[in-house]
Amino acid sequence: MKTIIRLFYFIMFALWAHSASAQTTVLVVANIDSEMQLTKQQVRNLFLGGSLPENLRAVELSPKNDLRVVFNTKVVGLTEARIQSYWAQMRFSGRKKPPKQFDDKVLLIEYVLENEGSVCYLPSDHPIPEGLKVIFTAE
Amino acid sequence: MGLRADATLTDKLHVIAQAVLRASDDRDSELQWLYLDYRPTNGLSFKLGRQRIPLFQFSEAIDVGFAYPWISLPLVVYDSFLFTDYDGLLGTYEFSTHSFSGAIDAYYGEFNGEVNFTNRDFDIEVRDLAGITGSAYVGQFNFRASYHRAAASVGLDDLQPFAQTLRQLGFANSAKSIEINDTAIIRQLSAGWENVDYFARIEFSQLNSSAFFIERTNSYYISVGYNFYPFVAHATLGKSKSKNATAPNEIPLGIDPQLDFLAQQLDVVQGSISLPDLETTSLGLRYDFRTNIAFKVDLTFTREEQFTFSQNGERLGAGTFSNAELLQVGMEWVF
Repeated sequence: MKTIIRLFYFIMFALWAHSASAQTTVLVVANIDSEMQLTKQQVRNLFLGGSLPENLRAVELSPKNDLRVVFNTKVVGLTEARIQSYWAQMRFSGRKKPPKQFDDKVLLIEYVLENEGSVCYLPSDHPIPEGLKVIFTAE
Repeated sequence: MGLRADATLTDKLHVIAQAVLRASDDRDSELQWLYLDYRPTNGLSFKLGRQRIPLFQFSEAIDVGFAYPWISLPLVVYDSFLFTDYDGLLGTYEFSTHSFSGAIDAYYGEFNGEVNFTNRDFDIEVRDLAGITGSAYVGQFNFRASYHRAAASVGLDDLQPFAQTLRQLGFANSAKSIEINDTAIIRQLSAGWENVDYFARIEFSQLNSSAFFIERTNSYYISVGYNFYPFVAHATLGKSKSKNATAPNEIPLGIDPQLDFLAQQLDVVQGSISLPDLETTSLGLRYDFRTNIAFKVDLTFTREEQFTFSQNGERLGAGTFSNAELLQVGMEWVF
């Protein structure tokens, strides 16, 4: 009986977590001078190491971070495991390198503020630091 | 085990070396790649030196099992070539628009070395190796098409004395039919779709060569999978079918018993180097234990059908079947 109750709580938690991630809006912000809007395809391409004419560089949070999971689900459309296997393919074939990663959101924002052309994602309830511009919103 | 070193010379210039250490007796450890990587602009890059041939979708990461769901890449497509690396120049141009992104690769080079084929080592010389590939990413879809050509000669040492005998007796075309000194063209097409829950992938390749025993080989696999993090379950079907060209029939029969014997030997040799048809079905499970460690288990059923061929390249009767089941368990670790 205890096992069934645990299973019930686990399912309820999973549903809550899934619903919470579905509701979080993610903002993609960049350290750039002029206004710019990217499409979802362009943001996905940027975070998968593709080139954009605007010379932007993606930086992101480390795996296991909740916001990274939400971003990967909503924008990249891949699981963390698939993203890791994608980067293994790109790194060991000498094609592309994964974005620089930070364990902490504060360090991530500091880096973006100090490096022109850097792009990262933030939750919509986070104040946009001065000097950064929103270039994409994932509802 | 693969080891990779990346030395930065300037912001735009790197030297990359990659070595593979093997415990198996069949294949030696080797320095696989050593090349200069120059990226003058955001979307343009050049690689000069020994590197991998961008033949199929996963060719450049063939030794990196962490990059794909299977333990071994689908045999029908990925076992159809003899060499994987070349010395030369590769240029890549990447581009993107609002709705899709893509890349074009072009390369030219050569390869001289030893290759392992059916657990035997052969000397191989490849000249004028060239190819072009195009890739496109549209939403959750990806597409790739490529064209490659090469002139290759393979030293089949144990057949050399026989080929020499045929040549001395004036049967030059027969001698040529049991040597590999030919031009080969490979065409490849692949398409994939994936999201957080599912994936599907199909890859098709066609090899055309002027070699008698492998005039044309068509191969494809189709794979579908389901992600339930941290697991991925997948099923893959693959098929490969080869066609022999018309074998030269120069040796007159019924004139001299020795010539009859020679013709008979030639039939045996030509028959022995024909490629079998292959059908594979595999089911597998991948478990991503950590972001850099994955465990895998694959069960593969293989059905091989070996035909004998008439002098004009037609199949003679039903083939000889052989079936095999292979259970593989693996661990992939990248660091």
